Amino acid sequence: MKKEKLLEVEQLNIKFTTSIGDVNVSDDINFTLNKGETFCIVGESGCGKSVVALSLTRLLPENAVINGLVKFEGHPISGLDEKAFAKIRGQKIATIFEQPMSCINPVMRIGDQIAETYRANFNCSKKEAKLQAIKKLEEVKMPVNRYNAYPHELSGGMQQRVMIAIALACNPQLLIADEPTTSLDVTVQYQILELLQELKEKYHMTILMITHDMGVVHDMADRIGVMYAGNMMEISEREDFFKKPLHPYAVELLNVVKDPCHYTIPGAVPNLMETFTGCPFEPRCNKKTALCKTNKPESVVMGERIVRCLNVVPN
Amino acid sequence: MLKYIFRRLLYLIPVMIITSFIAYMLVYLSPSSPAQIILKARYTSEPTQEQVEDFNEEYGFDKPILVQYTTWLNKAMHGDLGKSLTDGSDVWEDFIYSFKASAKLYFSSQILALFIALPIGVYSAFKANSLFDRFSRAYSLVGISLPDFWLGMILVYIFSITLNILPSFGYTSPKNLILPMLALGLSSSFSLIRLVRTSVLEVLHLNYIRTARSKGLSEGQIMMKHALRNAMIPIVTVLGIHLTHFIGGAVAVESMFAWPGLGNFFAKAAGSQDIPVIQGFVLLSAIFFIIANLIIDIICKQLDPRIDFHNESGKNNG
Repeated sequence: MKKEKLLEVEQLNIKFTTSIGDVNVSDDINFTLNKGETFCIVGESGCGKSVVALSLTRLLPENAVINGLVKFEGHPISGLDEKAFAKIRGQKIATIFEQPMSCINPVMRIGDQIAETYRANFNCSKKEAKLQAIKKLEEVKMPVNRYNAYPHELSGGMQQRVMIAIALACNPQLLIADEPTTSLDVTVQYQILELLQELKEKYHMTILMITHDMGVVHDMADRIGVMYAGNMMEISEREDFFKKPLHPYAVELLNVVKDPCHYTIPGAVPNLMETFTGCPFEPRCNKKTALCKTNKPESVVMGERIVRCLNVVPN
Repeated sequence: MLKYIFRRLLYLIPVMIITSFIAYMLVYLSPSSPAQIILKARYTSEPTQEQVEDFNEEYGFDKPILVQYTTWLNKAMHGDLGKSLTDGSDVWEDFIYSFKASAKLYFSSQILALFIALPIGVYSAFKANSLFDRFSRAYSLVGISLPDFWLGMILVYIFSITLNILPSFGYTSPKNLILPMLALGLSSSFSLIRLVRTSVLEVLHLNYIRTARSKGLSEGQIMMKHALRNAMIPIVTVLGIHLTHFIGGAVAVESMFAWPGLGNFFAKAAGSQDIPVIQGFVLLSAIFFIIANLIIDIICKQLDPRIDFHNESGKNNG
């Protein structure tokens, strides 16, 4: 079956210009999202996962320079001007963030924040928007009488539910979830993931999830992208990934999950202000060869899988 | 809420007693006596011993200080603030008269300052580091360094002397208000521009602004509905602190334009040791400040639902 593509990202380069030099956080990243799937981007902190996700809807700070082609439903959206792009945000692509407490307006009633999203995208009356907001509150399993509550009156899990309700107010096709469960405790994490899964099926949504939690990946993902130092190291289907990870970094990530108390990947994520002549993972890699230091690996396509490593030979 | 307001108003009682007592003591401690100053003004020559004693007896200044104070307090609690020693006018009426003058000047100038500072500050923050922002920052920095009475003099020079379209002093017609209002309003707008700019800029970097953008709101909606409301919280707090200018801050401008405001009146009374006037003014301004601060607190609560009146010590947060 040929899968329909919802989002295509080609040659995405992102750098931050700072007073002490440029920081390259995304280096020629390519990936596609198929309609209806959940794609997880994993990697350690500081690998540029969130930056890639936020760049898709241009939510990065002003010092970010984004280059590359992003196509949504076959139409390039990377060249749109701000006004046209605002119509895509919220209505077609919505985002939920980590730390919901700081991401919802502290002085506005939560119901109004949901209704506002709906009203901003569909020209409708206040009453209609309010009804829609109530419907969304029910969908995220919040008591409707919390419509008039302020964010600080809610628990972290409830706040994340509000965040989801805000994001889903306009029934977007693509939901970008940037570490949606990171700041929540384990039992609540599970509830939130379950809710996301349920809503995804209900609305046939596509989810792009950023996480560093392999448990979340295992539960949610259809496909997985492994990022390291601004590079997409491996993209593969979930089954293949957990059965036989190909890239040495992916292998290491799974090793950590198998024995989280004793095993860590030696070394640390490199400073992204450096430029790499070879493979960025080379200093920490246990399968490195002399070539890895000098030659930058290209993406190797192996059926459904894409791997960026000099030592992985196509079968 | 009502309970809170009532509790805050109860603070009035100790504050009134303490401030009026301190004011009384301070007058008593000063080396000259009211009799000396007032009689000298009345007879335009050094008063005799007999005149001083008569005067002291008439106004009760021969009694011990505590007796004087309690007598005054007792009368004040019955609504009688006494009469001015210098011209015999009623202290309450004097206060109301100059309070009205002060209020006119203060509120009109603050509204003017807000009208200038809000748009400039918000736009500055919105276009941070742009040419406009740089210009407005330089403009407000220069402005902050100018004293208000100097501004007043420049205004008088331009509008009264050169153009001759506005009176330079007086109180009777609405035209009289314009110059002192401009002087005070402009001078407070400079610091307000900077305050507005920083508070808006701070809010614009917060996560919920990013969320607002991700919802598909336009920049204007983000600014008006999300940024400004949050930025107003520190602005209103500072405006509340600025209320002290109501009395003290405007003295120079008031005396320059012969504006019969509170600052002007108070300075005059203090100079002539007019004890009933000083006492009455201290007492009534204390009441005014407490009520004004209460109003500011209520406005802040309306702006920021996180403020909890019943849990002021900050316990059990989170």
